Amino acid sequence: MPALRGIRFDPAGRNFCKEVTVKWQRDTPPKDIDPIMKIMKPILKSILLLITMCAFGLATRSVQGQAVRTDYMETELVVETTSIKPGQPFWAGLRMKMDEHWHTYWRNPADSGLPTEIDWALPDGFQAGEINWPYPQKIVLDILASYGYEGETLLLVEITPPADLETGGTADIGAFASWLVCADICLPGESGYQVTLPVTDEAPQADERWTDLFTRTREQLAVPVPGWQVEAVISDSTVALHASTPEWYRGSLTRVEFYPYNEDLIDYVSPQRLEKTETGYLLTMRRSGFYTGRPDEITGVLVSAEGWRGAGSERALAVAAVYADELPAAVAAIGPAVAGETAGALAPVSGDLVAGLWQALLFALIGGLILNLMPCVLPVLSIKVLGFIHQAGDDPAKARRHGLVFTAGVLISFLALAAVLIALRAGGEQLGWGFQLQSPAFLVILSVIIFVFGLSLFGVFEIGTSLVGLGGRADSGSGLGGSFMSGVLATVVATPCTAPFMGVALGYALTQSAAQSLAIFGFLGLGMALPYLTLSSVPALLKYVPKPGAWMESFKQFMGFLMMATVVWLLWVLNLQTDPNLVALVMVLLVMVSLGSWILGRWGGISAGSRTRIAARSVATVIVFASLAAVLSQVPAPAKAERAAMTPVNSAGLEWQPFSRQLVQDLRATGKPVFVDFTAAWCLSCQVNKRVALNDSRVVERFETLGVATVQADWTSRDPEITRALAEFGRNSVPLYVLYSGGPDSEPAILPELLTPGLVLDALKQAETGSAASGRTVGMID
Amino acid sequence: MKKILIPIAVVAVAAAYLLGNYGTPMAAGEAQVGNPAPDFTLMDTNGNNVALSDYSGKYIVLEWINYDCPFVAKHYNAKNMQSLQDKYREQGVVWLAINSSAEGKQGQFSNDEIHTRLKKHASTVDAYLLDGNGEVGRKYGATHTPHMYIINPEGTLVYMGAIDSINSANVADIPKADNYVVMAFDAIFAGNDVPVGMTRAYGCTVKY
Repeated sequence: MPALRGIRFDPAGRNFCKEVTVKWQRDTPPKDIDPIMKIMKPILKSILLLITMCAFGLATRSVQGQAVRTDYMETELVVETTSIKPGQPFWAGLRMKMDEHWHTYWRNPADSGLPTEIDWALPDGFQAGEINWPYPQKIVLDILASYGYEGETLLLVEITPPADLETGGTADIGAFASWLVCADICLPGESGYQVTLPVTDEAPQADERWTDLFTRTREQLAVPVPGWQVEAVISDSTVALHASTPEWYRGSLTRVEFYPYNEDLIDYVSPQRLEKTETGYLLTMRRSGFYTGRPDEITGVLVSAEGWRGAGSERALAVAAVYADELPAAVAAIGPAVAGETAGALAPVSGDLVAGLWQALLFALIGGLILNLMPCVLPVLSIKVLGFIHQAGDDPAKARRHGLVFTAGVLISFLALAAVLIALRAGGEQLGWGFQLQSPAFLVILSVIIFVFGLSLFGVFEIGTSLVGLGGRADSGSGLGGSFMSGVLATVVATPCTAPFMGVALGYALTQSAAQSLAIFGFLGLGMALPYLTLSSVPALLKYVPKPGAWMESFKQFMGFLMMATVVWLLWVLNLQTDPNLVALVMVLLVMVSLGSWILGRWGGISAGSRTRIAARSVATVIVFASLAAVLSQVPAPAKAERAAMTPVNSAGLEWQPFSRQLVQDLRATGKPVFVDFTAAWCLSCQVNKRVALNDSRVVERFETLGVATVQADWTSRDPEITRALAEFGRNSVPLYVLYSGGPDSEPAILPELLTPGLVLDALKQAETGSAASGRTVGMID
Repeated sequence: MKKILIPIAVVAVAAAYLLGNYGTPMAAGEAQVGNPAPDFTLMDTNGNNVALSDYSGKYIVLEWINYDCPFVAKHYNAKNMQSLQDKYREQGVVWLAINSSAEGKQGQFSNDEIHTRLKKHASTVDAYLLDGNGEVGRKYGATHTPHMYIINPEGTLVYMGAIDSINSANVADIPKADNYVVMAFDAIFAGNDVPVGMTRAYGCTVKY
């Protein structure tokens, strides 16, 4: 497969010039033999410099010890020490600082790009080593992924001067670098550099300007950590690495990414899946369709923010994995799933995989149950319960039928939503759960449905009998459609209320195969429908719920207010996504809808004459649907919101900066703690958390005292960058709260999905002690 | 039953609506080596509609292009791409350049500008096709520029991938690399199977 080469856009003469230089240097007699050389030295030095500059190509730039500004970046040759001692190796490096959104590449650039190259022009006898690459980050562009660097990086090279180097003079360390710098477009770049250092016998002193950079970069180099044993398992469709945990290791890994040196081995853009085994961790990657052979060993870097020696330790583990002849027992449990895909049949999964799935299914079931208590679902479902109470005396078979149809309604709509989501994600869309509320048109339709439902609860007109199966009509067929529809409605309004447990389950769900994802979403629906399913199939339970009576009518009407409140909330979300004019238009639509409902209730009831009834129903239908169509035609297509323009989700309390990966990185580099709030206007639990915890005066005060930088990732409208950031934490839904302490071990702390002021204060306290203990930052997040 | 069918229809319509609203999913591309190459019709720079099926019975090369991409520039500045175009067009192969850059993205030019560039590079292609909405590029799974495809006279895709074996933007690497297009045609004209049917393309990303 293709070998990687660097780009050399140098003028044709450069290599020629360099050869001359080298030849000339070699032909130069040893300086201390000929006394004339001592006189000649300054002159010779100037000539040498000239020729060296020729070597760099005068057409470009050769800059003595300072940063060079080229397109979208700044580069500089830096040396760790201020002098050179003969025979003692020293470190130099190419410092590259890219503008925001621009990146250069790692040694394996992945799907697109080229690694940076450095050619050295060193005095005679000097030896330069290979580039030591800090671990990269994965930069996903649409359907491709690149391995590279954003922000500032340093490519380290060790240089060894000859032992017989003459002291008292200086040495010119020259280099010529070329690279490809890309954002969504790419530009080649190049420059020459030179640093002149004195040669002395004294121990070299560190150049304080670069101490931090060198230290920081060394922490990002791949190192072997004795004890960790990595073995590879490879199949037609997967590449898996099993890392056996050393006995002394006390940490726990939650996120690991493998950056292979082997080109074309893995499918770079696919997420890598981490599983805990009995003896370590298994990381499974999708194998690239382009790699037909089998490398002798799999080499690369395993990166974990948690550190391979425990929190705050080395993040990059150098890997040279040989194939496991015999899978360790713990891997064998998972191995068949990995290897089994070869057979093309359903893998015989066992052990941890299944445990993971059952756990997720259980969480989904519990999450579904909790959804029933969410304010936006409660009205629909409590009315449903009233229906059961009412039917208590009736035919139990009929009640059971209604219960089943309602469950089917919930399940089918959950599965339909999940299927749409999975299909879109398979197509490369960056979406997550709750995505339907990112569509303004959907919000409009949902507001109308909930508004109409509320009106009927108030008694403006009667659809209650069929829609929620309230009535006890004897004919068994009627109301089934209503039961189904109430299941659909319950699902639709429930989606934004991400209950605790659901974030984990849904995040897990979307990383699994389509079948497993659907199973998890199915269980979520099942959990939501479970109380009603139970009530309807075990009628005896109904004796524990209150007796029917006039209170039911009052309760029903009261629930109408909850529906109206839900409409207000939806309109508020719509206002954030679009503009106040559209909201005004929707409110006019609601007036028209209530007019239609009123006509329907006044003249369309069963008590009216059949001609009046038909006329009233027709007029009402025309009014409602004509105005709905008119408004929908004004709704813009869902577009990525201009995030910078919209930060009203948190209008009071703290000052929030709109999220970008770069911003978080920059803020962390300042050493301050950073709090990132992943939120959305349509996410109710987010709003509750904000009111209760984040805007709490004690919390606000503490944030301010500690100087915590607060960043808000607003997912109200679609935003691939935020979707990706969520995915990095294994999530696919909001809320998500992440706190980076200021320390070098900046382990991001993830706060629970339901916040209390106490929880936030505790997390801040921990971050504070963490950063006080260490007090320096690591600039790179992976 | 009717009363159940209506809500189901509502859900189906809602799902279809959502799908429609979020646009066509970005598929990995339906083009696969060994399968029939998907047909398409695109406008060329002279305002004519060109369909792949217009050329059935001939070998066809599809070249995904973006003049401002350093990797494309490498092959044009070295006259490598043009010499391939001349060599194979002389032997009756149809050469179609396709640009999938979206409106306002790099590589998207006016027809006049494209004609100027073609002339400047002395590049002769049977047509330079405009795929501004990226439909054909996505159908073919074109990810990079250059990204090369070869279709045989039966309409089967026989090669897709990189132009050659060295991922670089350096002109000096061209003679050192194995050119996959040349390898494919050498095999075809010798009556053999294409030795490497699929490679990972290198270059800039297609600016969809």
